[in-house]
Amino acid sequence: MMAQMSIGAGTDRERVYLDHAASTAVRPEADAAAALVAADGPANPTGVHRDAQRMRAHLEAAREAVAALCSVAPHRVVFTSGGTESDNFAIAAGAARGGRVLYSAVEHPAVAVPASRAGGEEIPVDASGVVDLDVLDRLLESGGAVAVVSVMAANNETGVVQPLDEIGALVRARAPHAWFHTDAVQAFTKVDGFGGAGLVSVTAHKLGGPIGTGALVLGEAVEPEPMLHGGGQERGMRAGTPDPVGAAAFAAAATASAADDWSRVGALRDRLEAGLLEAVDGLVVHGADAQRLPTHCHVGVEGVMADMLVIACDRAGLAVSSGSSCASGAQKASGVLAAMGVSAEGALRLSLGWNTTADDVDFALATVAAAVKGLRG
Amino acid sequence: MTRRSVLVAMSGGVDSSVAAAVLVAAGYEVVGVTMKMHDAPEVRGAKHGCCTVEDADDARAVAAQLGIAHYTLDMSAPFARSVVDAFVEGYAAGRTPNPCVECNRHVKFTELIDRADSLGVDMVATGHHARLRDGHLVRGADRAKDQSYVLACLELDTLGRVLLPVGDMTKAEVRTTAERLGLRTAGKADSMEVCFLGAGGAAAFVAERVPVAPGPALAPDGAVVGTHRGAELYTVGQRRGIESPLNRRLYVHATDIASNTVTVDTDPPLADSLTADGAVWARDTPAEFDATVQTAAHGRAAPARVSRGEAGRVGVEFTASVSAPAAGQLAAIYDGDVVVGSATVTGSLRRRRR
Repeated sequence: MMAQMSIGAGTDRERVYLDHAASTAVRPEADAAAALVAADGPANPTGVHRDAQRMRAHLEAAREAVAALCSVAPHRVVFTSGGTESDNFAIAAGAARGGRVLYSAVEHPAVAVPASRAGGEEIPVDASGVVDLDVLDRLLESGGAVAVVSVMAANNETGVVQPLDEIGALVRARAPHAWFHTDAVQAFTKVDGFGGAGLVSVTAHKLGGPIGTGALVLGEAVEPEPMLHGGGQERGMRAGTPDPVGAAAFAAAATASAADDWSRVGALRDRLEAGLLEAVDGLVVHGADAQRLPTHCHVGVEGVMADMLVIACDRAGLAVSSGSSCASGAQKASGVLAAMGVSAEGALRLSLGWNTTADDVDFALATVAAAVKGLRG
Repeated sequence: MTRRSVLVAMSGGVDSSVAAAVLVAAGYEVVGVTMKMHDAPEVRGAKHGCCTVEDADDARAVAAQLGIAHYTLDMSAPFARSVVDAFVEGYAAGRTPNPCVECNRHVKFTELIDRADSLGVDMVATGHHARLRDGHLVRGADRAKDQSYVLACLELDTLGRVLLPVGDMTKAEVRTTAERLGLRTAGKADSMEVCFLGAGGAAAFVAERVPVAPGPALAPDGAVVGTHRGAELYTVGQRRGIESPLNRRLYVHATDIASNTVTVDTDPPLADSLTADGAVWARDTPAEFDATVQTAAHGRAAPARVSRGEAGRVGVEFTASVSAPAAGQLAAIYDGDVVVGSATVTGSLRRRRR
């Protein structure tokens, strides 16, 4: 009666993807770079022979490109497996210096969990999700030496951008010996400058590169303890065979992303938001009063369950997200919204990407409006 | 004509995996959901049948094999309220609720149907071994695996929204089907334990949540014959956890929370009648009728005379003595294989002996 089945047996109709903040479409530039480097392999870039030298050259070219985008010297870029590793690296190395760990109340778990385990202190945010500078000032001044301060460049859920210039100036003035780390996983190539942060976490798959490659970018004065020990790759900072294919794709994607016209995407986002506010009663935009990335639209819809809203949208062909997922895959209420003092009811994140079109936005608008109507019954 | 749609509760076990596969083959638009009922850090990696991360992964993998959508839904709030808290409160009051019954009654089916309604999905389905005939619940084809008891609490209008695709199959047929389809859950062990209890079982779970104190274990004549660890931790019929110098196996016959005493005896407790309340009826019945009544998930149904009282109360007179049911358990009332109704046991009596 039934035949053996394989993955993907049921194919979906045409779908619209507005979950770019989770992982965005791979750019053609990244695909091309990866193919070019892969065709030059295989070889371990740390080897002696000419084959290894070719791969090493690809790796170092990628490093130069990422370094240029961060305005640092190439040797300040340590390639990692991605944002979570870079964040863990930064917090662990910061905490290992001895002293207090300060981190914002809206950090991604990749920062919040290691920082909390290191006995870190939370820096509160206002109702828009922006770090309270007065409280940060007091935290820096009182209570002993600070080892590391970690404030993300832009929030993964709301897209709210933190005032890194002010935060960086405050840290340098009040705690000149403290390291300043920023998780720029969402913001990299979309905002300029990171407030002079000495440790910056970046990753490829949020800007059009592959999943599995990222970097920790270090300031001149910052020399963290290595996190992975072994063969001494990445100047001894991160042992393990480097991935020239991933690095080349990351560099190509980041370069393309930095040259992209993000105001085009921002205009689409604004159109989506205006449309949602008009079409759906009881809908609020989170972080609307703050500076935000052009890609993020985070809303709360009265009278519907967040997980059901995501499922209803998915069934209608729209990929979006809500809060964060736990290991079992269940959607959990967001700690970010709780820190902002905002209800998680009907929380929905629509995140746009480099290839999002006006048609996508129109489809999303109609789909969310219909889904809310269906759920409200 | 549009395809009928169905929301299948996929625990990550073989029964619900095959239930989903059967519905796909029958032409339904199938949506798989795994209901996360609780966080179970203490049983993580243990061989439990549901709610671990591994089980959700299995459900997701099977859904991918079947080409259907799959979502994990967080049901921990209603489950904590209606099942876990009620379980602990029941034990604290000297009752023994069946958590699977309470889950089916208050959480699993109500939440599933509610979610299906809001998504515009027609039906819901589970992997229970029981059948539906003309809207009535019937024992599963595999008598050894029959789960009609834990579903006997469901109202008819609930059952009208339910599909039980593996009820006609034996467990062996379920496994064979899973193997033929190459489903990774084909060889997975059955879940036998209550999903949220750790290795220590009900007593350890309750002891962590209710203040308990040791007290005397009494013989039927009132003589102290041993000690217990807290009357709240015992269930009628249980034969473990009584310390006694008598060097004999002692069965719990009764517990009294107010005096913190447990009455024990060397023979298992029996009953000839029971009272129950909160009746749910699946059909019109006379005020008194003959039926068979089952009072435990793995118990036997015994012939009895059932009488319907006021306000959902039910009296049951067994034809012959049965193992005494614990208060809080479900009394499932059958006409042959068909569930006629159910009620929750409030007490039982032994006929006076001469």
